[in-house]
Amino acid sequence: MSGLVSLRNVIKRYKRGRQVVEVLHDLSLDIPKGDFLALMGPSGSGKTTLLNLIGGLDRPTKGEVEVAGERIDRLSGGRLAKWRSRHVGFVFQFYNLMPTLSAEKNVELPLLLTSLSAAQRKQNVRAALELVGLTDRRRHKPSQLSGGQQQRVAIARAIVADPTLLVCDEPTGDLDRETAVEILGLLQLLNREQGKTIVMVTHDPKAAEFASRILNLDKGALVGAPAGRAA
Amino acid sequence: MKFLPLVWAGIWRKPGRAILTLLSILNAFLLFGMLQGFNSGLNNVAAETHADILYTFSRVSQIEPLPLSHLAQIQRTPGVRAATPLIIFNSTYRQPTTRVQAFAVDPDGFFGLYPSLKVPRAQLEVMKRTRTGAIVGADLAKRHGWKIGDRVPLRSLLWANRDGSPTWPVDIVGIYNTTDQVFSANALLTNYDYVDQGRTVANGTAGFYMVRVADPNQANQVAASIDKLFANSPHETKTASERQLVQDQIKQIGDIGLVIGAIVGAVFFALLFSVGAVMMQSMRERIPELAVLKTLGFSDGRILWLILSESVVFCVISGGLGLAAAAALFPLIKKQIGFSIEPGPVMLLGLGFAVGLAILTGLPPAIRGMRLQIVDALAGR
Repeated sequence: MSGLVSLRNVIKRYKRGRQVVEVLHDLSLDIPKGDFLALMGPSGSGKTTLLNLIGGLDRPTKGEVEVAGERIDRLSGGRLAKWRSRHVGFVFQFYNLMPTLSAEKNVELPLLLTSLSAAQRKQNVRAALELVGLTDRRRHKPSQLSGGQQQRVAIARAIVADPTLLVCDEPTGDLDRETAVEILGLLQLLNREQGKTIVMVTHDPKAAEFASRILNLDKGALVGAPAGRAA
Repeated sequence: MKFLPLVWAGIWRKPGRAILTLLSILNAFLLFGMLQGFNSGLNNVAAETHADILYTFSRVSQIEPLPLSHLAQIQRTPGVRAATPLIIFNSTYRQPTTRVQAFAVDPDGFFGLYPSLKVPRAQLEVMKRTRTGAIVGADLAKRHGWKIGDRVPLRSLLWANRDGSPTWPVDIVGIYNTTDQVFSANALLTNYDYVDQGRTVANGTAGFYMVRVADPNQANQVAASIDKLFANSPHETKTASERQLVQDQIKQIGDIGLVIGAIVGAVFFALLFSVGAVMMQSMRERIPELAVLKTLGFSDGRILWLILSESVVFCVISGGLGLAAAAALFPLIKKQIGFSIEPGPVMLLGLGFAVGLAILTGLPPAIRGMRLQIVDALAGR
């Protein structure tokens, strides 16, 4: 497996009022292409911050973040937004679907930023919804869908533009066990069958078992990895 | 266009609030359309006056009659192409409240001088032959259901008949048509001789003279020459252009433009705050959704554009509906006031205001949306 994500000596500090809080300390990490990595750790350990850096939602205070050969920590706001739209699919704990749009319109959102025609967009949306098993619910609004179905729509939205990387923040945190297993099975399928590289943050050890690799984070550092580096 | 469903969905996120806001904007633009339409109608009347038509009244008062002997002198004044006497013959029909705007005229002189009133030559000939003959405007005839051959008993507000009654029967012998806003199709014209010889007082006089000049650019000089003719005589005159008279009449109502501007300004000022507050509230409620859009790759500029588009689409639709409702009422205004309004310029101005309102109220939330930090917004900070 060749490296897809590479973090080098990353430090992330936040200002909270007058206080400066260092959330990640000199963290280095390599994620190979096709990996399914589970990031675990207690609350406040820096899991979501790390995920935000990998997904290009935030920038490190120091250090380098390279994804698919591109130094995303150096990109401007506009170029980073464009980069996200091409390379990353996001899945959130609370689905974060647009409540006023139907399932298919939600899935179409990332494609609006591409130059695809309406017919091509429709075709891609159908394919993504078919993959998550929700073709018959495509006209439903999020409020008409169960939690599991909403998360499937969110996964369809994440994969519809065929991104390199899937970033999932507690994707099963709001679901019952049975539905969580379904969703994790779907992510596993995307990893194995479609070769998607997945980075998933979770509290749940059972959810982490679906990943091919687990890393623990505690107080802003990777636990059980050589100092400053984990692969 | 591909973003339109997203813009549309954003507008109707809270249907109840959207409908109430739409109604308040619609209402404001309905008021704007009506008032602006009224104002533009007044301006149209002034603009459509004939530059070559002058009116000569008594300097003392517009109801003070002038001797008929003035006519020949006016006609001889250099620059005058034609002149004709008119008697104000305003009357009522059946009910004291049913007013009829009427004038006694010399048929050839009047219709020759004022060619924008279209009447068949044959009907004009009948009027000349029929002492009690009258030609009425098409709108007036339609309003009262009059047709050629009808005898109409008019009750004059000014003149008693020789039999001592104010009733003047007239025979309708013709109908005139015109698109003229000053001398609209709402008047009745009967024979000068019939009224002048039939009335008990002021015989051999004219209420005023209508004068047509050869060169509209010389109208002011001709007016001055006419007034000079009768200066220091027992019947001094005051001659003014048709435009001046119309403008004076409008001024008598007050400074319409200022009043309308003040009302519309106050309404839009209030609207600015109410719509602005709604837009800002709507944006605040959607912070997580906007953060998700940014996460998916929507740039800051695109978020600004999306929120502004929502504001523009919403305000233009709401304002457009209000303006359309106002335009639908324009024919009623015409019926009540007598002048027509061209909806085009009012609509364009109104839509311009709607876009302005949208930008002013949409820009602050759009800028806030643009500056949104994804990580903070997703974390609810």
